[in-house]
Amino acid sequence: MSSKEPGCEAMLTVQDLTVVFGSGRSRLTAVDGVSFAVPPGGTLGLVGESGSGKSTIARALVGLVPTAGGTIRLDGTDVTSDRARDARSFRRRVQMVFQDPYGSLNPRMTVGATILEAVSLQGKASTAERRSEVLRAIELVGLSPSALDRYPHQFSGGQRQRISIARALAVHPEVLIMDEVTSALDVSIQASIINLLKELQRELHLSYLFISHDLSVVGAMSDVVAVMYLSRLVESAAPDELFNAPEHPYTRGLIGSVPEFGVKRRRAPIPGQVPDPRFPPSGCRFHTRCPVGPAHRLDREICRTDDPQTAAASRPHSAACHFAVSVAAPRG
Amino acid sequence: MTITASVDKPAQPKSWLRRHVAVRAFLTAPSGVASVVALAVLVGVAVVAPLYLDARATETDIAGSWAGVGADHWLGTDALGRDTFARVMVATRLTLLLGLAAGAISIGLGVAFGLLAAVSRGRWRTALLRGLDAALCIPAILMAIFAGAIFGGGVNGAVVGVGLALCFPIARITSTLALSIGGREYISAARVLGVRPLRLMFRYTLPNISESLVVAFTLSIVSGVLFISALSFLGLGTQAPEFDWGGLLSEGVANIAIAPAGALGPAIAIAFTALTLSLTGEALARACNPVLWTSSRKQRRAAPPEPTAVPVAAPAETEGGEPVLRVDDLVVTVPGAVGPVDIVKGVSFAVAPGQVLGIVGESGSGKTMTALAVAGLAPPSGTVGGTITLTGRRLADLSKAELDALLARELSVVFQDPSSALNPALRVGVQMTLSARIIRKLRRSAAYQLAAAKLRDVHIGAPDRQLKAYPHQLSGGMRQRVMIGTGLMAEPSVLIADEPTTALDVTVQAQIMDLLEEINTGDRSTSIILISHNLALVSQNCDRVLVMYCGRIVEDLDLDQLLTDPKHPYTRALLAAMPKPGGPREAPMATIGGEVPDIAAPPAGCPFHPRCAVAVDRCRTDLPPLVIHPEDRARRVACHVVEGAGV
Amino acid sequence: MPRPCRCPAWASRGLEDGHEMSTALEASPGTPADGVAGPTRRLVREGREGRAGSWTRFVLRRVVGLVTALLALLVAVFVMVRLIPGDPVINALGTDATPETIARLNAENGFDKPLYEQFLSYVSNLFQGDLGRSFITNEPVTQIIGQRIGPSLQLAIVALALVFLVSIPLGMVAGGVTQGGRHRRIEVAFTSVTGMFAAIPDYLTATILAFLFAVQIQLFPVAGADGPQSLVLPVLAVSAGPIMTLARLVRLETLNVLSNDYIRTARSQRLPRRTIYGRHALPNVLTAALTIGGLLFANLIGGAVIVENVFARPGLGSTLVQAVVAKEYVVVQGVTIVLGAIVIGVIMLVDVALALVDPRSLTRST
Repeated sequence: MSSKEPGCEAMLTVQDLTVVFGSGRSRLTAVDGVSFAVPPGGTLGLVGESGSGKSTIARALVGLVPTAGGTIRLDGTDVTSDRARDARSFRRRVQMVFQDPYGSLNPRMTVGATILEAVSLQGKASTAERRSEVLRAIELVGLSPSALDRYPHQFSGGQRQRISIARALAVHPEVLIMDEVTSALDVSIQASIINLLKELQRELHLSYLFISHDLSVVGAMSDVVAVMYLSRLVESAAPDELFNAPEHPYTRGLIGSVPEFGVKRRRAPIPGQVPDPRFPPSGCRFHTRCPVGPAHRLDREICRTDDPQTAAASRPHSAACHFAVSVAAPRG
Repeated sequence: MTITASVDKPAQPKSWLRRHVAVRAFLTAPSGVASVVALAVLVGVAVVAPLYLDARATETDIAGSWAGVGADHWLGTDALGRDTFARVMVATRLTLLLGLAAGAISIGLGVAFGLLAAVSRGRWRTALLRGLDAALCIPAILMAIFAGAIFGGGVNGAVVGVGLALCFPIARITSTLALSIGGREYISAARVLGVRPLRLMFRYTLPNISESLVVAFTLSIVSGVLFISALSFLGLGTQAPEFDWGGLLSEGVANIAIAPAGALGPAIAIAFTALTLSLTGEALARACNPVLWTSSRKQRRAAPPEPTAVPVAAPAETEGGEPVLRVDDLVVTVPGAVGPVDIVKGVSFAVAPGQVLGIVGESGSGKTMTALAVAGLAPPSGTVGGTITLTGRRLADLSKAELDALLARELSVVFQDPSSALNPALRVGVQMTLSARIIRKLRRSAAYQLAAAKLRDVHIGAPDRQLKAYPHQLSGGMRQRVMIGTGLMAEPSVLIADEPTTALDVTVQAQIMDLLEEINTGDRSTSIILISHNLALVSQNCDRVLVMYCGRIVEDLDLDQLLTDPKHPYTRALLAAMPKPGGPREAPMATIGGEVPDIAAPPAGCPFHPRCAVAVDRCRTDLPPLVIHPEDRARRVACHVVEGAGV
Repeated sequence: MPRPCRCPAWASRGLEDGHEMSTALEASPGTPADGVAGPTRRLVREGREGRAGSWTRFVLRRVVGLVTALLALLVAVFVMVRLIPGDPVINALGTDATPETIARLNAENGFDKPLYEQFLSYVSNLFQGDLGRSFITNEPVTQIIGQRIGPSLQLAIVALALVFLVSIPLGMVAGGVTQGGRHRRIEVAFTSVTGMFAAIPDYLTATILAFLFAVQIQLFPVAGADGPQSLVLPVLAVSAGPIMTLARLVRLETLNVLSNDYIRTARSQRLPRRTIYGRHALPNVLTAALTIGGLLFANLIGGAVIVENVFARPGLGSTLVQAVVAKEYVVVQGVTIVLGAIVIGVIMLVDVALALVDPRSLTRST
């Protein structure tokens, strides 16, 4: 699996992406100047808690939600305009798999019809060609062709996720965006879906944007992990680096909060809750909860006033913190 | 290739069976047969009556006017001596046709308007919906009268007018339904595929609201008939010499003192039609339920005969003396699609004072139902068997009042989703103090003081202000703290936490687990039963762990044993399947093949055997009993293969 | 908590438990379907003020809604009247009206002026309390309405009160008894009986009641509007159908509410049944009932119009019908606007009551 090396052209690049909802008094900036790059044939994992904006990024990338700023590049081509992302060519190259296995399939269409829909939209000429594409897709995800005549409610959650993946694969995409695709599944099924995704990535040279709140799952899937907090990117690094030597206090706290089997639990590293996204804190957004921030250290007033921005995604490991320091996370 | 997920049954035969099933569902609804019969009568009369009774209905016979009810004239005659019964029968056709026409207009216009409102964006949509709301404020009959006048008055005007007046409710229903579908993920998925709006509407939205629309349409036709009749009744619909039921009713009412049958005749006819069409609508509603079309996995399997009760070893003696909670042979049965289903199939465990017991399982394991049954919250349609002993008292021996008092005092439950577990219509303070004030008869001020103190215990600042707040004004983490605080109001001996952190952010999760630990190690040493699907979470917080699978306990072990030497293949497989951050990413993750079994129809023998790495022949036939491990009295395992776990 | 719908009562007839329609009807029409996740959506709507600010915004929104609806009503009625074919004066007075009269009435009412001018003068007259004059009797329309609105309002208000007082307890009890699929026979009986009576239109009930109690058994007066006895039959006729329809809805809503998690929490606290129903379930059920109540009032007014004709009550109903028959559209216009405005006003009041009962309504956009 190719990881991102310096100088390697990224498959999907996002620069300063901004998404805003509402206006005037009810204005909410869900994504605020986020930049990252999905390596070709590799996986960028996007992890964050509620209010981080990670799901909004996914929806903005596929055009479900309009962007308010920034650029999106697909393999070098600028696709920022809404029209560009509505075009058939874009839809063929970038597809999405959703979270809810019970809600992301039309209950009134058979599995075969659902996948056929995807194929037809890409304009394959003959019925025979379409049929073969549908068969290819269903077999890629490990389901038998007899599934094609059935309705979604006849399948289990894990099987439905496979069908959703098949639908996305039917158009021969290059980039798959996965929004919490394992969050609604049992642990045992989760693992099989992750294995499927990894194998497909190898076989078809797919690039993944893998979004999840579950740090462990993201770590198992990704070549690069980007951590989001309150509509901003706070740190991005390879999983090993991130888990062993996180630089940003939020990442440290996040890692420390995740229960790890066999490791004794420590007290919750991060107090309080995520602030209201409509009233983000000034300066560094995390400063109100930062265990080493201005609330605890007198010499860190700068966190209240100055906003540390993460450097461009091309740096191997970057953290948006005035006092980023590589310290092993307190695990447990 | 990757694991081929097993797909159980051959695909359904195609459309004709589907329709057949729907028709069967229609007829088996109690209203189904009745409505078909009544409809047939109506249509029959409408078609046949004018052919045979036209003469009697229109012939005048001044001499015989106002004849009473009799063999010659079943409903008497009217002012001009015409036979009332014949007139009522003949009027059927016109009334039905007019009503159908008006209904059809309302449906056509309404659906178009509603879909338009649903697909439009931003200001257009708001404008259309507001306009719709305003139109609905005008009483429909007024609008019908008005519109009728605009369109020329008389019958034609009436039909168009009623159609117009009735289109607004249809539009409203259509737009609301379409908008509710618009938020579904399969619509988003289709948009991402590039499906165009028109196709989206007809292939994705409409089919999913079709049954609701069908019901609305039926009601629309009913209203069409009723409104046209109303207009005719007021003299604004059909004009002489044409007559429909409304017109007949109007004549009849004017002379109700002389010849009441003249009014009752058409009245009964209208009522009969309205009832028939309503019944048809109800039967259609039942038949349109798509779950009936293709039977789901769950329904098709016949439940295998229940294995004879397998002995379940009692839990080992607990430390610290008498267990605060003891459950023996708990069985919870609920009605299922094909018959009663045992969700919990014989569970025994004990909780020591101050202990934290974890119950781990995936979906369908029965862990939540176990907790609910212990708390007395099993669904009322189900049955609970077995013995539950709380602080030394057997629950089955208590009267309802004693049971309520005991449970209120000694047991509290914290549920998974704090946003739905709190009543959105009541302030937090009210919800926290209701129990204290009503059951323990505390005064209002004392109860609120207690609640404030509990909120402080769960680290909620400014508790007096939070007590006055509504649940939707609090964040998820705070709501869960409020739930825990509420649970602590009575100072219980046992706190059951059912997935208390699943709906929360992971940083807040850690805080809540801290809080639970404080409660457990605090003055009262409250015992906690922690239910979770997350083995890692359980391993960090519990003294003892029960692993459940398919309604039964498969392993009962303490924390050290879980960390060093879990024995049951399912427990081991669960551990192996947990994603580990920082582990090797190249290798595939260990998985558990197959699917979680259907609790209504588990595999024969050991329910885990189809997915088990070490299953032997015996596992396919014999259900392994949960027995105390011979080498370690503090552990129970249910597995044939585990070393020394019985024969 | 599912948001109750704004559909007229009749639209909910024939619903069975858990039918998708009842849940679908609960979606707010302002729901943006475009990819905005739930919590974000709520935050966007709430804006930046706190609760006091919420009330201000709420009142402002409602007032704007009220004005918009009234304006829409005015425009719609105005346009509809102008659409009626024929010359309005000749329609009313017939062909033997003198040309002088025709010319005079046309000039007085401005029928010869362009439409927008007519509309403007109409609206300005409206603000001065002038709704025009009847062509035939030359009475000011406001006077006609003023004399006759009393009995109609009486009827509608008493009927509304009766509907609420009967159907809410009835529906809640039915819901409580049949939850979890228990007492299937009671459920079937309840559904059948309410279905039957809901299907019968008010003029029919009026006819039957008139026959039974006024002709056969001379218990109540069959005509006129003197004294409370004269209210009994008309109120029964107008409210019978809506009582049944609302009771069904209340039962469904009760079942819905009782299946919610917070009821399970209340049960886990071992609260007595009366507390669970009275303190926990009732406010949520009331929300649904109140929402329907506003539109129900529209139906009741409509029903009153018809029923008044059966019982010869001198209310707006008979005025309206006589005016329509006589093609006196100025009067029809005035009556429709007044009645429509009353309904709009009542709906707005209901919205305010709703906000008091259910605090989350404050932040909903409709």
